[in-house]
Amino acid sequence: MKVDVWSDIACPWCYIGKRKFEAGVAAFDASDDTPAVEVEYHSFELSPDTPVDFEGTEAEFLSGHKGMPVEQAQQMLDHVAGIAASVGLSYDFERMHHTNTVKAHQVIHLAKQHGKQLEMVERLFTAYFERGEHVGQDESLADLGASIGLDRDEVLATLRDDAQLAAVRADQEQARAYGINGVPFFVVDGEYGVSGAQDPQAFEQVLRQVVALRETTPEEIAEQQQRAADDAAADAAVTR
Amino acid sequence: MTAVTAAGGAGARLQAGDGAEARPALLTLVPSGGAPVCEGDSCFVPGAEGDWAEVPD
Repeated sequence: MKVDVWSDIACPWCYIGKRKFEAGVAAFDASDDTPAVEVEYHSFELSPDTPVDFEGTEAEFLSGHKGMPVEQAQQMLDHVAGIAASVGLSYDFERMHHTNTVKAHQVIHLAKQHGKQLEMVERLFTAYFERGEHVGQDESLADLGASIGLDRDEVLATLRDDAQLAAVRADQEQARAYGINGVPFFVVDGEYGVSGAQDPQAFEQVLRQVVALRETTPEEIAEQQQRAADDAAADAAVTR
Repeated sequence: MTAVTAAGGAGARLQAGDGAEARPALLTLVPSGGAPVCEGDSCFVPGAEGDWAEVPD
């Protein structure tokens, strides 16, 4: 079973959703008769116009960007941090470097070529939300890539030449083709879409539902839909 | 367990955007209730009263 995930590094619900999805997959995998789940991440830029560097706290950025008091922005961030904590994540908005993520997405694509995509995604998320590390600058991204086993010079060359930019754009184009407007967004077996940071139980149930749908022929689905339509028509006739 | 329903039919399928390469439509599997999601430069979460409150990213 393949799950394609569209997400952005600078997306608080994407990291929280990642943890909840992983918990759902773990519960799904606990059954003996379930297929293995392969996961692939895809690029989605929530705010492509974001500058690489911003001097100030995340609350100050939000305050200026949204035109709200810093205290109100901080209150919202505290709320999100509380939810993150509930899934074992320690969001640190005080240390966060608000930045543009297109280069981080390029590094994720480079890591995919080396079979290290999932490690890179996790490393970038924790760098951004928990460790206060910069995920928008070449040198910092090279360090982060090296920390999971990528060649530092290859990361720098990739970023210098925008060598993975076409792959990032292709992901974004596919998201548009699917009609994906927000993230995280999960596509199961290329056919079934799930939006948002759902609870683990929801992810587990979706995976089980897809397994059941796999075992249902198109003819059976058509019959079920016809029966449902007939039942609805009968109900409508009774209530007239 | 959260109820999950399959929203079938053409109306529930995600359609390809204008000018985009034609790709298979997705059948949305929609768990009941809203789940946190980020769109554009804003993120949303269901509030304690069930309303959606904006939480910028």
